[in-house]
Amino acid sequence: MKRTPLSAITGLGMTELRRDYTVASWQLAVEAIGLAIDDAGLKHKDIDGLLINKSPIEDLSALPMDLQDYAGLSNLSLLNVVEAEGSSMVQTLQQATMAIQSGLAKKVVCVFADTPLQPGGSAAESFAIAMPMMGKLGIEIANGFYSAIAAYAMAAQRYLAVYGRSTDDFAAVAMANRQWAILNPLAKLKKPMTLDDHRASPWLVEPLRLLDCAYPVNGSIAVVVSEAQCAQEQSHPGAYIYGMGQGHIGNINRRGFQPEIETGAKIAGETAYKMAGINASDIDACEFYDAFSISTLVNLEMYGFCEPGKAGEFIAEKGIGPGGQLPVNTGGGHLSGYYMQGATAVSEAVMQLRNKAGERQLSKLDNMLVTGYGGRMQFHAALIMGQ
Amino acid sequence: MEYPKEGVIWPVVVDVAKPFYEAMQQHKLLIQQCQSCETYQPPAQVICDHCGSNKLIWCEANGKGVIYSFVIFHRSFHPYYDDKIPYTVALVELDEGPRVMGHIEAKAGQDYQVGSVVTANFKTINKKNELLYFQLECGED
Repeated sequence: MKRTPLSAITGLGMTELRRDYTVASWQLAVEAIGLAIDDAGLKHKDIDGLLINKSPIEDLSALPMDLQDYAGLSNLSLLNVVEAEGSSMVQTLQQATMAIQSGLAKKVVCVFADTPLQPGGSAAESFAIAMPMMGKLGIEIANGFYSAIAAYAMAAQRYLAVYGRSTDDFAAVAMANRQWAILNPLAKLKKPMTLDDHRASPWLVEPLRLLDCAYPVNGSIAVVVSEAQCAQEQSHPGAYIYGMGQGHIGNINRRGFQPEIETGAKIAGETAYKMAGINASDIDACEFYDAFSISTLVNLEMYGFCEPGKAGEFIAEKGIGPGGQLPVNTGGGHLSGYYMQGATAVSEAVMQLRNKAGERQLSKLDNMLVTGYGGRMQFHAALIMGQ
Repeated sequence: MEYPKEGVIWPVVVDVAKPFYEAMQQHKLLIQQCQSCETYQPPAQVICDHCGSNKLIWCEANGKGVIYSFVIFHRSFHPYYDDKIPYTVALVELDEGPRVMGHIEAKAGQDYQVGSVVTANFKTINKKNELLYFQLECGED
């Protein structure tokens, strides 16, 4: 297939991903930025753009515009803190690509960092206090409707009822993630998981169990986005961007709408496929944002791989784990790999596209779908990448 | 954002939502209706999410609805709820169309699911605040 890429990811930098607190997010970001620049074969002075993905659970001061100075970057022609919740990382790559296409910048660093594990606090607490502030009117706060898990559990219960499915569909997602994680040296959870293990996992907010939830870590991931031709000079296959899209359907809470399970991913996917000149059937693998197992089911449906409500059957028939017809979240995703929000999918996509994914390496990668979502599956951004 | 460690956390009520909270003190459930297209809106908005008109008026819901979805908290995320788990929070689709959030309080033996018919009621949380909750239809088992 002869196609013209829009841009390429030519550098990837990852700090150690840890389950305890060492240093602040900005300090982790500085390290990841340096690693990404080295990996791209560049110097700090070559970088002319910086796009920052601050975690929604941290204050603005955690990863401020001043990160430019902490990271030793000067004479930039592009600088922004992108705030689109969980879709931010993919959106930084989109903005970098648009900047490159328009001539605004040539070498843009996109960086994410987060420290949900704080000294003396649990990661669950970090995410528990983040979500209720988004509740309409705060009525959710008054109801004790805390935690991101609760919002996804609400979507999960609706999904099960509308489509007549069981939580074993969630298990199918979690087990596939775990199978991939076992093959990934960077993944955090590697103990084999059976259906019985999932069924025995404790409810947190029913119908979601512990094994349905992302595994938080502290760390930072950065990439360098460059003009597409720069990737040709590298020793490995290029990680090119061919299409992009966003979808924000609106959170309308009344009869006739069910934004919890019919999401803006549909718009994001259709836009990205059209830009890349492909259809869902041309996708070789997916790297989804998958903070909760339910979201992978909804993503498979909204990105056009199966009809609404059919994701469980799709997984059973086609397979999304190692050896499956549609590999999904090939590093273990958020559930078993590592929860670096939107940067998890991006980092795994780059490793796969460069043929650096070791035991879990995929053989055919003409088109890879790389996505992020934020809020309550409200805000979606997608990339079509390929070698 | 640090939440107080004791007592129920009550939201800061923004101006546009004041009628909703004040009505709860009188045990009334208010929603909004667009005067241009007559679409009922969940509280509290400043323009209609269907036609964009800013002519929204407050009106009282009849209090009947069905469970749109619900979750059961098996873990407490705040000390106030430590002795209240498990508790059920639902989105209820009111007869008029908008969805509102409230606890589901089921009597012993009362089962419920998505689609179960419920009725709005209010309970006193503390001296100042009343909170919406939903009861299952009498006779439903």
